[in-house]
Amino acid sequence: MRGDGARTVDRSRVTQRGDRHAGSARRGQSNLLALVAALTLLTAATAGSVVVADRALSDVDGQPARAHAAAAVADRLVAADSPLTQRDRVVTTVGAGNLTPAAVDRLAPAAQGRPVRVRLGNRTLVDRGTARGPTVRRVVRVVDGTVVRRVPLAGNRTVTVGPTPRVELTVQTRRATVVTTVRADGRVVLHAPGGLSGTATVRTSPAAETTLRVAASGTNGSVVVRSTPPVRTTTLRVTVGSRQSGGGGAAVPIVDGGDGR
Amino acid sequence: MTASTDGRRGQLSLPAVEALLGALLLVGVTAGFVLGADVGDDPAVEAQLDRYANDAAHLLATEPAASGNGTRLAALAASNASFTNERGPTRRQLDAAFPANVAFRVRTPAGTVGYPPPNGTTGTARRATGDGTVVVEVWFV
Repeated sequence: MRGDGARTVDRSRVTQRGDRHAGSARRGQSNLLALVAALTLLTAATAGSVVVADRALSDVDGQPARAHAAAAVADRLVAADSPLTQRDRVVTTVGAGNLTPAAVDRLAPAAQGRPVRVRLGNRTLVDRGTARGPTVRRVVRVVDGTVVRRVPLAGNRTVTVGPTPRVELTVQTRRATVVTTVRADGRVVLHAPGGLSGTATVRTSPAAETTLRVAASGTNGSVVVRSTPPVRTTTLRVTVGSRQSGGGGAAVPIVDGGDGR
Repeated sequence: MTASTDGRRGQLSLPAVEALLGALLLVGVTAGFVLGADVGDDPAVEAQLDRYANDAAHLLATEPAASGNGTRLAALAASNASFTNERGPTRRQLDAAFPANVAFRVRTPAGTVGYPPPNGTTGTARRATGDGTVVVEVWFV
């Protein structure tokens, strides 16, 4: 009786313990799965956050430096004492044509070792490397230098000048040769039966080319035509990129040294 | 009884809850980075507009007036008559000078030439003349 009872109790206890074991095992497995899922989720979220944060920080780090360099280059290019300009914010075509990356570096040390692009209107003056960054724009006047053309009376006696409001003509003749008439696109603009002398100013079209034709009694001498193309306004655009890592002048070979073997 | 209670408590796995909270925190911080960058005016845009405004004021200050006396900037401020003379040339000059995405307004004591400005970011340049201050405002359209 007692033995039976004890056995019964024992059995029930065993059963109970067994049940409990089975339950905790199931719970342990589900906990493991939950842990794996949780760790995956957390790792993914951390990785994503780090990427976003890194991008945001590098933007904040790099942007002002590039913008500052571009502004410095633009400021100094349009200044009165720049090789590009004649006066403050008046760019000459000749100066623009002679601009080199080295000159940009000398003007604005902030641009040294960085990709730089300088554009005047739709003409690229300097393009070093792939400049990716903020673009600084300045509004400038552009003057082309005075164009001097000599029209020999021995030649075909015509010359075409670009769009300009006026041209200056200087008659240089020798011996019996005299220049009697100057026509602009067929219209008589200067005429003296006894011969023109000295310098005269002729109005031409500021919007289109004008062909000047000279009539003279001989072939000794020439007419000098000076024209100044009108001043125009355009945009100077400067873009400066990030300094290349490991760049900056000549490539320095990386030496394997010491423990590297 | 005890076993079944344990089982129910085990279903709401604590690591999962912790991970969820952690992920939520991280997403919150990330959202701060993503959204925080766009808040406020871009200082580069403002600086560019100020540059445009200064260059425009310089253009007006170095352009001869239509009447032949003094600069366009001074003539704009001098009197209503001289302002009326300069209004058209000023508008044409600045329209030609700026890229198509830039609009402007020039305010002088004698009158205003240009376009109505928006509520957004504008760049400003001021030039003093004998007849008052000329204000050039520039913005992106």
